[in-house]
Amino acid sequence: MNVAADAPTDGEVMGLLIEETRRFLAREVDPAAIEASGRIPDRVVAAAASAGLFALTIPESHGGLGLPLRSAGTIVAELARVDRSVATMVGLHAGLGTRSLVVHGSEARRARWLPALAEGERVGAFGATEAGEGSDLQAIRTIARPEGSGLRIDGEKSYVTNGGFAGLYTLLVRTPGLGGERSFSMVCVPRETPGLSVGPEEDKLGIRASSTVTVRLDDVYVPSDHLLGAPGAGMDLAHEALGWGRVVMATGCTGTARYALDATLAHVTARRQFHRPIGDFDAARLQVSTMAATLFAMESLADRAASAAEAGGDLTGLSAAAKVFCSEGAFAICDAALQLHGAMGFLEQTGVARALRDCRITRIFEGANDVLLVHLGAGLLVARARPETPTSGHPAFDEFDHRLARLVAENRAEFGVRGTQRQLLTSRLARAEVCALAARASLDRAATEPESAELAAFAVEQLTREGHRQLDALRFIQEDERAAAALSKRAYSPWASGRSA
Amino acid sequence: MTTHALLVDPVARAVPSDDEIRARAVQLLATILERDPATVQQAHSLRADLGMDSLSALEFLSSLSHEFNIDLEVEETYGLTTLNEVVALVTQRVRGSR
Ligand SMILES: Cc1cc2nc3c(=O)[nH]c(=O)nc-3n(C[C@H](O)[C@H](O)[C@H](O)COP(=O)(O)OP(=O)(O)OC[C@H]3O[C@@H](n4cnc5c(N)ncnc54)[C@H](O)[C@@H]3O)c2cc1C
Repeated sequence: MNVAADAPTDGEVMGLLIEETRRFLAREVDPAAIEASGRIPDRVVAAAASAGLFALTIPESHGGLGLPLRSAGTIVAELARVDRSVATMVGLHAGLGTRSLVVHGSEARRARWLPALAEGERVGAFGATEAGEGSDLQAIRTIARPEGSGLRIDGEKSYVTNGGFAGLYTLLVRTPGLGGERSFSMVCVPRETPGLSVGPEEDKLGIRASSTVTVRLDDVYVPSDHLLGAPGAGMDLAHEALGWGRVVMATGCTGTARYALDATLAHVTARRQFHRPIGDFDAARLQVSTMAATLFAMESLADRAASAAEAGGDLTGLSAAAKVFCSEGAFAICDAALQLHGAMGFLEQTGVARALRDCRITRIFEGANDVLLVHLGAGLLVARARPETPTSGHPAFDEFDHRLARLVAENRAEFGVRGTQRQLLTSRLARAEVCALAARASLDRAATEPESAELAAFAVEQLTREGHRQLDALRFIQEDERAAAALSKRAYSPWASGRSA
Repeated sequence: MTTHALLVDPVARAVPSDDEIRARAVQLLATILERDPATVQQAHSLRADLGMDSLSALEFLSSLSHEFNIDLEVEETYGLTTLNEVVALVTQRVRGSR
């Protein structure tokens, strides 16, 4: 192939972009000050735009960098090491905020909006959730009715990330007039459209500078080419975008976790108690090793999901697994970091407390983990066939993986479709599956990264143990179901908390 | 004895008529979808007309299996697309034939 001498390779582009991102962070981003101000200053948004951070996943044909999801994820992780609010702004824009337009927008609309989105002139936002409908998206009420050659939209979207300053909102709406009473569609609404208004910023536990608002749509009219994809295909598009977005979020979690681990390594080697560095105590060593191994597995799984996203195909299970694993992993790593920092961690100056606050939301948004797990487990029980994976050559892992496959098959044969509604069954199987996927991704990564062999081996050991623990717990499902039913019946009754009836 | 319950439980013994199966299936579906049963038609496609995704379809099939006390194997639910097909499967199973 004859490549022009001055055309940079993908690796060179990424190298430059990482440098540019680090410069942006060093010059513009003071996470404590940004958090205290409760919003990302306009100056920081403008600098992010100049650094090309809004262009990551926009196609080159439309003024973007056209990066694969993996590379975009690397940048989001880099941002998340320093400031999760800024990372959330960029990640949401690259994921849910623009993905559906990039893939399903009409050419005219793509040509109109994508260059502005790449420039950061318009920032992307996504609205599916409503005040009464979160996990159950099928119940949303915002409605778009065909009128003339367009759509008339009424409703309200809650908790819209970037919503306060976004220039383009991609919304999931009901479109009963377009193919059936229960049809849904995705539609883009530009900020300046009459009838669109945004509420005040929400006050939050973490990512306090990330914009989170309610977006109201009163008698909003948009031409029909603001629809994305086929009329009535909205739920599929939303799931596709969520699959993509969850991968971005998973990679963001690796950045936060990397920060917490680095801070911990510095602290445990410097801080002395009982005449030695606290990092010399076995218990601390094990904690730090577990943090490092968890992060290794998180990176491996997020990377696998990102590569799968690039390859196309159904991302539902893998992206959910990566999102669950990385959000829980990041929270656990931040929590361990805080513990090992002692009082210093609880105080604000180290930044560890902020990292812990900031990553808590990732277990909730873009699908609460509890809900993703029961769905993942139901999917395992009805899958036509578990994707064939060759044995890994790691005996303990292979044994666990076979046990998981066997138990899925047994439960499927025993309970049929009813099994899919037993949440203790589905979520325990799903947790085991998440362990299997993370362990497998770690093993495969170690095969190409010999220097990581020891860390990978420890990660696989821990994941295999945890996976077996989840499978062992399948034995107690009936018992646990019964106890939970009985106890919750009591606990939900008025007398349980001392309230009078 | 496992047969004991069957002998004394008239509900479990009574074999519902085709119409009854259809009506109960529609009622269950309407409850899951929170819609008026009168608007559900037998020929409706679960996905295109009723807007069901794979999860709500599983919930529906699972509640049918509870309602009629039948086992629905995962494999036999593959390829079901309309309410008619679901009702036919359930009827067949309630009648005890495969
Ligand atoms: C800071 C922030 C930013 C957000 N940004 C966006 C955005 O940009 N766009 C957008 O559309 N949404 C956004 N959201 C909304 C977010 O995606 C939802 O909060 C999330 O999907 C969960 O919905 P919910 O809050 O209504 O929780 P609910 O649906 O009320 O669930 C609450 C809890 O109940 C349990 N639960 C619910 N259903 C089940 C079930 N079937 N089985 C078992 N347990 C269950 C789970 O523990 C769950 O966590 C944001 C939220 C926050 C806080």
